[in-house]
Amino acid sequence: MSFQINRRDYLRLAAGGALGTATSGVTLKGISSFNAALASEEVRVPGGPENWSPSVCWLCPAGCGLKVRTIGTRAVKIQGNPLHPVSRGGLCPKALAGLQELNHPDRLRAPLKNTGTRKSPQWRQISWEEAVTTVAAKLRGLRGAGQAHGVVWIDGPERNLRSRLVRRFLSAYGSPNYLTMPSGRDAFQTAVYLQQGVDQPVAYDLENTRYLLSFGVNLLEGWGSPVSLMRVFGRWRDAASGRHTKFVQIEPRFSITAARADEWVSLRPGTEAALALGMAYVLITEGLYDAAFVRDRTFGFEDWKDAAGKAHQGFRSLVLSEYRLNDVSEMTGVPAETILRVAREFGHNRPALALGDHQTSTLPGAPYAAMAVHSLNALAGSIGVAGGVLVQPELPFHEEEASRKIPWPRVDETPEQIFPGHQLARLPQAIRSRKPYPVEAVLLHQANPVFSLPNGEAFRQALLETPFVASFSTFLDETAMLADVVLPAPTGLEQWQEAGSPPAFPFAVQSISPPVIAARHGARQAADVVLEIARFLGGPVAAALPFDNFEAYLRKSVEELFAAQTGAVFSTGLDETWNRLLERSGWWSPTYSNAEELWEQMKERGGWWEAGNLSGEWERAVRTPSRRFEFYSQTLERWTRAAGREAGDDRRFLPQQPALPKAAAGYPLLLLPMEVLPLAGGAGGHLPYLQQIAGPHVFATWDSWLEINPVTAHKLGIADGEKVWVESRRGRAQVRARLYAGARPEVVHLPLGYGHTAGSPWGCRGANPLALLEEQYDPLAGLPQTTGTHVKVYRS
Amino acid sequence: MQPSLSAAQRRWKTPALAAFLCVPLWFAVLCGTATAQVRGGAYFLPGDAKAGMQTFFDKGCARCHAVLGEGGRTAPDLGRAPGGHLSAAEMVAAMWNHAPAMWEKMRAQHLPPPKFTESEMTNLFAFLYSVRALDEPGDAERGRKLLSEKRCVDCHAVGGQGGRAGPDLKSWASYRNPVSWIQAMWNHAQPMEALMAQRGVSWPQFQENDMADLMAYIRTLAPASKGHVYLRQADSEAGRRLFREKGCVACHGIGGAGGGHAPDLGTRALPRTLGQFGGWMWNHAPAMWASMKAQHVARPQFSNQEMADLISYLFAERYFERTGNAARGRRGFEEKGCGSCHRPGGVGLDLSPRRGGGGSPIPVATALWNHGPVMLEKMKERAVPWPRFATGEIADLLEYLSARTNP
Amino acid sequence: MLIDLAKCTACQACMVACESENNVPCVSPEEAGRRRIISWINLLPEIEGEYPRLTMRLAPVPCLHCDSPPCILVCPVKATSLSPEGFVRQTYARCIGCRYCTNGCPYTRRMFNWYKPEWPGEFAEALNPDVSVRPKGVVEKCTFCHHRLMKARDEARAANRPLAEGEYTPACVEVCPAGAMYFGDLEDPDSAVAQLGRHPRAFKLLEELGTKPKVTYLSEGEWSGGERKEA
Repeated sequence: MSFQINRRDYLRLAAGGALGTATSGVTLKGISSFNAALASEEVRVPGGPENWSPSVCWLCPAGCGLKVRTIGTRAVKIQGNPLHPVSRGGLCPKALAGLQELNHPDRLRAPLKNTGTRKSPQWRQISWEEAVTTVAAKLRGLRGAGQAHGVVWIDGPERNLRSRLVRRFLSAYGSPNYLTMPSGRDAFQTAVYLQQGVDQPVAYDLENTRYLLSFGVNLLEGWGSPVSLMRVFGRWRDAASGRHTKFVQIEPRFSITAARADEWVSLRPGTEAALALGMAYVLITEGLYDAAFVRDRTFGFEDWKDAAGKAHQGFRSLVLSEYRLNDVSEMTGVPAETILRVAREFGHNRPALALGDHQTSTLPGAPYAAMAVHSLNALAGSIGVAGGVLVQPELPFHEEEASRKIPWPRVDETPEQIFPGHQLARLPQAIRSRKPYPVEAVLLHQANPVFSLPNGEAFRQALLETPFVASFSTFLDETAMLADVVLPAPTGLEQWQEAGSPPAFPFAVQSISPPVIAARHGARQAADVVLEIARFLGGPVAAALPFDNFEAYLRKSVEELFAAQTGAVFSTGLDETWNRLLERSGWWSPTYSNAEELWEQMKERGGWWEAGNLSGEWERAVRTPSRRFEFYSQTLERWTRAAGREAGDDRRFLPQQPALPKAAAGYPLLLLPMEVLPLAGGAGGHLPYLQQIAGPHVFATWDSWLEINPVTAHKLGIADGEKVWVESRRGRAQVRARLYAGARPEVVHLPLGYGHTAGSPWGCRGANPLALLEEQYDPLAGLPQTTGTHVKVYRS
Repeated sequence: MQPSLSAAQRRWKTPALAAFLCVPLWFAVLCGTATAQVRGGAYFLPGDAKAGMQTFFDKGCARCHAVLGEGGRTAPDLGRAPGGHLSAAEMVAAMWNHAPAMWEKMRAQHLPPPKFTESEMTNLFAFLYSVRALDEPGDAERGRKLLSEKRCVDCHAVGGQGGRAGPDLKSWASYRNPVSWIQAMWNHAQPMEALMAQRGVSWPQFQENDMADLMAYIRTLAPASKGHVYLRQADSEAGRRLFREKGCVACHGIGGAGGGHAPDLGTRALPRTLGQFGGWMWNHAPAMWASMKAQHVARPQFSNQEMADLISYLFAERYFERTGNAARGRRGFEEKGCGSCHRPGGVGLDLSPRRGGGGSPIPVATALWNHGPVMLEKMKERAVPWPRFATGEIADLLEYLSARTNP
Repeated sequence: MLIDLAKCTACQACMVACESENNVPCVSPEEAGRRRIISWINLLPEIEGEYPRLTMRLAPVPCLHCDSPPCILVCPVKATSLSPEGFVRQTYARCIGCRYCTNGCPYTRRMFNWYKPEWPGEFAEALNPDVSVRPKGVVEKCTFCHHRLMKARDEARAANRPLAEGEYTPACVEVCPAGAMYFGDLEDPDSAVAQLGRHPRAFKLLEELGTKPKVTYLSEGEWSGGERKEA
């Protein structure tokens, strides 16, 4: 393929950038005098001593390594830390826009107290002392009244050591309620628990895989740890070593990930599970699966009999009877020959990996769909091996034992689901029903569930009823607007930063970095405030947290890291290779001889990691009742019985295609929210750098856009760039339509991250697609789902 | 033959010390420059192995060759091939023999042969020598079979199943280094030996990667919570002391000292890796103990770090082979046709007495790369075949060349 | 410079890195709607076909620093010229804002400052002291981060050694997470850019115009069928 393009095309294509500059009709002389009048418009940029300091990105859970240039007291540039194993000097646009968050005009300037009502707040600036005392006194009162368990902490971006500190605080204080924001990845994690018996985070050895089937996972648009993904992608396609990995993207929309993949397979939305099982059909009928692995390491492939002699259906007969090639082709809309070819390629190339780990969640029944995709990994023998699915190694820190056992369950338990889990999305219901017990106080840390959860409105209502709400936040966002006290949180550059192993990354990583510049506007690190509150509370809470500040806690943690006698400080790629060679043969060559040296080196280089070899530890990878990968989940069967339900049909414990949503009369189009890299995780809308680049393929900037197929748009009489209404049964929103050939004719897409109503006016543009979605929960694990809402689109 | 420190070594160790970043103990080298410090002592592996790895990647060696899987895949993995232990001289021989074929391949790919300075070559050799001694993760499937073949399971349980006489091998799963295993076995050998004799189980013999394979298998059974236990950087200087203090030197000769009752560890062929060497120690243990009993020497006990130090010392000692014979080398020099060009007034560089040039592996390897392609062309013109060297021949040649320059 | 489109993930980190390095102001949302965003490097999207048979290419395009740059020929006041290193440079103080060059550049890689640059809130805190801020009424463009070259050269000179490869890289290349962008001396045949420039996948944008761009692209290429020799 070459890049055939002529000048006319070029101008048309590049119009997004620069057509506005080509205007004529002004005389030279006129411009000259015009220009002279402006000569005094000079911007003076102060100088000062230059410094480069390591830091950790705070804008997504990955925690990439930063190298920050400071001139005097100003931070002027963010670059990648070349020593950081996750990012290796590369960064995504979000991290680079971090300076705009640091210098943002809409940041909170002081702690605020609401002197009005919850519904119409009146904000008054208060001192830090008053703010901390207000929160601490409230907590002391609750504890004194035996209501400690009614305190809930909601963490936004989860970190490692900071989260441990908060958990330690809560357990000493007497609350079991450390809650984190849900992720679409919970569905796949559930499947891994059901089939592998592992509840630790999974990771993927993408670098060594040779064939990757991604079932709608937006690999290049903010999934997992985005920079490490892009790095791996670059390595797959390195000109020097040859292109040895094929990457097939399976999804309804022609996303940027699909465009950059080696092949895009479009399918009917929500039928990924059927397609996966159809591929399993091919692998089984053509004998292309790893027979030894399936025989020695899996359970429930063949039909089997239980101890009571009852016959059960196996995976093979399920697939052969219900997911025949032609049926699957019809179900999914994928040509049979494509399924056949891709499945054969998957079978012939080892190690092969099937990825069903969506970040944006899908249909109710998502865990079943994830089991279907994950079963392909078992057929390929790609579990616990190089190039396959791994269990992320644990960091060698001790989890603090609760100083006393807390006799209360977590408030967000999902007892009505078969699979008892915890779901933050369930909190509003718990608050409003006062079950299992009343929630007395909600503390939020950089979390904005009102904006970023599908049931945000329910959250708003619930928080209105909560007796006490406090938020640690950099901006006065939608959720902070509901607080009694808002405590301004600094950005990552102004505080001690740390991050554990990034999502889906196959190595244990602990980043640590000191503040790069002094905190603006008197903002204070939440961890320090927590320690101060602990001191205020005194007694066992203070005793559990004997640290002057977060730095002291980090130092203590590094001692544990040293004691583990493994791993290495961040270093160059060469050192990495060297350490890996040594490590593989059982040698450890630290550059430090005590915890103090380790601490200093970590601060200087950004952190510590273990480039250890993870494959081949079967006991780590699989911990099911049968000690095998379970096509037929005995865990699920056990839970079903424990929930007092009839086990019934065997198919309830085998992978399956979930039921598809039906279009209601008058709502013919399916709305699929999408994630775009600049606003990955639905965050970043308040930063101009990111607004400018949000939708490059459709020239969209500063506003949400509705992606609609040109044929569909034509039928509805909608032109490109026209304002239209998108209406679901829940509500409607006005957005600009963008005709995009990559949208399926019966589907429309809206990007996540738009439509703020508070925080910064820059973010308050466009529409939040979550506000249009009908509330749906997965029946198995109670996960909130975002796929399956139908809408109508009409001109405004 | 028990020569003292040979002339060749004396001649080029001294400048090596002065000129290069000399890290004394090869395991200190192996474990990076950060902790390396120059210490006195006679046992040197000149060069900086990590800098050598940099050279390996920078000069493009890694485009085709890998070392233990790191690097290209179109040429042999220099961490594994050729098998067995190679001294510096044998590494030169291997390089020499394959050079014309290699240059041909490079020409086909439009890659110019890289040139090296002597210090780069010193580092490169240090790197290759160090890496070749590393054990690789074994083959779990093979390990599973070995466990029953070697009758380990007769006495040992593995994850609860098997014999009860010995400890459950699962408890060793966190050990990542085969040397740790050997050490543990060694120290517990006495009761083990007695029990085995009683049960009529023969002393197990470990070949090649048996130990690593066993470990790989046990690791698949390891309880998930256990961490990994590594060995710290070995210290071959400490190993040298241990060799004396633990009484090894009483029977084993090395470097021209000691020995008599047991194989000379300065000349006996070595396996490729440290772990494999540990396996050998184990294999010979009963014979060794019998002999020790006869000599009234106490059975030594080692901590696992001591075991690592000791083995690393033996390997450091064997970087330079002492087996070269100047007379054989002289014959080779003439028979292989070197002498027809490399003589006073000849086409090639004069390698006659006091002209320098030969004498040690590093300058020969450097010259091979820097002048070899031109030399090959000249030889083709004259229809002189490219000489090949069998095991030991290069060592003889080097001995001869250095003897001539240092009469 | 060389950009390997097979490796590019279209993440646009290069664009933000450039803006933050070179003090490029963000325009207001309204002006952005009029497509007056200043962006020295941006993505050139090319979408072809109909659902579901589609291709999309997203190529990052900086100033190509042509050897025969048409923009220089049309400037009436010599505000733009080729530097000794071969960079197409813009002298802001001399520019009269006639925008002949923006029309002359076939790649539309020159941008006009329609407004006085604005830095809301504390945004001005992040300004890079090494790069001047352009006033209203002048044309600006990619400099290949020339200030970085000057700095690296000064450092090398102070240490009395020649400038080594990799000592100077533009901000966009430095940050590319996929390693899709390469930068080096085209006159050194052993440099990565020169070597990859001879790759069969190499091509230049609108080469037929005779502009002789110094930025080379490698086209996407295809999966080779997984042929990889295992050791």
